Amino acid sequence: MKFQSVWRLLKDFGGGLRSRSTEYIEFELREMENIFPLLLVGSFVGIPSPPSNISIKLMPYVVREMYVMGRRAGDMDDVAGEVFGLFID
Amino acid sequence: MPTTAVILIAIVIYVCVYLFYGRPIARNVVKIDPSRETPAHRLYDGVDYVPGKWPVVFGHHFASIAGAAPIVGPIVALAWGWVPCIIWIWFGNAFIGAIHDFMALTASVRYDGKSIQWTSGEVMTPRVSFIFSIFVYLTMILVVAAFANVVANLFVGTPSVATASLLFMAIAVLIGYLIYWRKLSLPWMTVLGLALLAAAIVGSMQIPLALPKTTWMVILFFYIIIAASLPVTILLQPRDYLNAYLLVFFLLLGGIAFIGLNGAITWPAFTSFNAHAIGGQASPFWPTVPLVIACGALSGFHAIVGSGTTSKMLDTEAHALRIGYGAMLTEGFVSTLVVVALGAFGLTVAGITAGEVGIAGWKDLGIAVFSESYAMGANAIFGMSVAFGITFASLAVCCFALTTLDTTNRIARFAWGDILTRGVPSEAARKNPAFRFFTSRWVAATIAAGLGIYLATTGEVFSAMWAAFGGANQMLAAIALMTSCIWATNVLRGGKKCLPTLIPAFFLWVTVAAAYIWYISAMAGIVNPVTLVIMGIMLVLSFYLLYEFIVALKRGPKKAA
Repeated sequence: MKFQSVWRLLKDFGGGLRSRSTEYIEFELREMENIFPLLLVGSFVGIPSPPSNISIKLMPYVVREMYVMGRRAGDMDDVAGEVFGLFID
Repeated sequence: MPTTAVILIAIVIYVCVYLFYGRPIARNVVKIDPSRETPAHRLYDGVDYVPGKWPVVFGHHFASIAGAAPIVGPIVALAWGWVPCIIWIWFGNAFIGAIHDFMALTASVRYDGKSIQWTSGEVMTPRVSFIFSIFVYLTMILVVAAFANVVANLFVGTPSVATASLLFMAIAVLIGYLIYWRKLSLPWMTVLGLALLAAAIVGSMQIPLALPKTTWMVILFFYIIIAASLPVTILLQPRDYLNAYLLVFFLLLGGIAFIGLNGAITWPAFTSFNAHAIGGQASPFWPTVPLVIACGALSGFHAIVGSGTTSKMLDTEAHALRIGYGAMLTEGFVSTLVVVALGAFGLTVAGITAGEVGIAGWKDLGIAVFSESYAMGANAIFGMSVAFGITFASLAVCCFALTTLDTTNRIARFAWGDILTRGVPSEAARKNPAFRFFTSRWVAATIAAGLGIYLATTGEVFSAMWAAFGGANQMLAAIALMTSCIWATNVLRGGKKCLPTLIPAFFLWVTVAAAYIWYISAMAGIVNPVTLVIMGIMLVLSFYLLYEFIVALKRGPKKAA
């Protein structure tokens, strides 16, 4: 039992080490996620596609994206901090 | 002294410090509350804020803070002897570095995962946050200069590493292609990648690639720009993935070898207070030691990593101590192993006597000496071939340095844009073609890489360039500590001074500022004048930051977190 928990701990630690390598992909994915809701509901902020009525119809299906977009809009004063956090020394 | 005794002393010190210094600070200063929701839960979105199991977050955080620096620093610092070197590592870890990392992480957790840079603007003034960006950018240029030197010196000193590194890149591209484009199984591709990597190390010993340092510098210049601009899935991501395994093998093999070795440390315990450690000049141990042993004892970048990424993954505040404080102690342990390895084999490998260490005309040991010492330890315990061990250890250090170079230029590019955008608030001015030109992707990437490589090629003595990077890094740490101190004093304790952060913040600032002054006067004529100008700018800015720090400290509480 103890051996199993030690093994699990080491496995998780190794997983953590490996997960560091995907951080840049995750960062780029997040950037794409930002673009996606903007494309969907961009007409509200002046991006002319799609028309507002379609955006409103789509809204119930993009609740999560709207939430993420709203929260990330609040983080715009700390974008540099996020990018600097990707550094390795 | 036996190597095992030093390692056991290190373990005892680290455990005691964790239990009897770290824990009380977590309990009494930060008032860690496991029932308080962390940003990973409170702001969970499945994208940025996602809680992770503590070993996963620890591994992720450790992989971000453990690069080549904790290995290179002690190699240079051994000019003072191994005892002062190891004392600074342990002292710096326990009372400055680990506190710095832990406080930055917890401050970020309390401020919804915001970065330490943002927090500095919040608890002091927005100007501090802007200066933080300038510091990061200038540091990035010095990082390029120092780490390009590390890589080029390794390639020149051990040409088989150059071959192995190039083969490693080719393997990474192949594995990335097979995983992302051919959709082949990740576990099998991992096995294939590691097998090819082992074959590359063996093969590279037969076909060493010997080129002059200047040629490597030119190659590195183009490499940095291209690597920073390629899609990450082509090279960086698969290479970092395989790097993680390299890091594990490197640490496991070295850790077990030097714990089990029980050899004698033959390196002189102490040479002189004014050993010729930096740029071949007589360098006073205080205040210059932090310029040399940077990340092994404390590092400003840890605050940036901890507050930029780790804080958004923390499952509960109860994990903050073991991740923030514990990971720094673990990194200090890596530096301890480096000192022990060189202490046991350094003199033999370098072919010098104890009396020659740190005297006039002394040049730093070089990473090749560390690699061979590591290989001899691995040979003594595991019977691994010394030639294989040298290439393996050198490749591991080289990969850490290359990864740092890759990320550096991406970040420098961003920092450049951030500084210019904040420095030019007028929308009309930003539409100016000159502004657009200077903030464009390729120009921004070329400026940082070009300036860094230029400094690297004109700084003849590696230790002098390394100390410039170390100084920038340590001043970043001082700013982060000042931020944490103001947060702890004004926000957590209602204006009551927080000595565990105030003393290290002030001590570090005084030490590093004094070291800057020494560096600028002692390194004139040794390093490129541009390096001295960069150090001068940082020194002036650091005085301004001290002023802001004192004003914020006197002002007292502003608002609660």
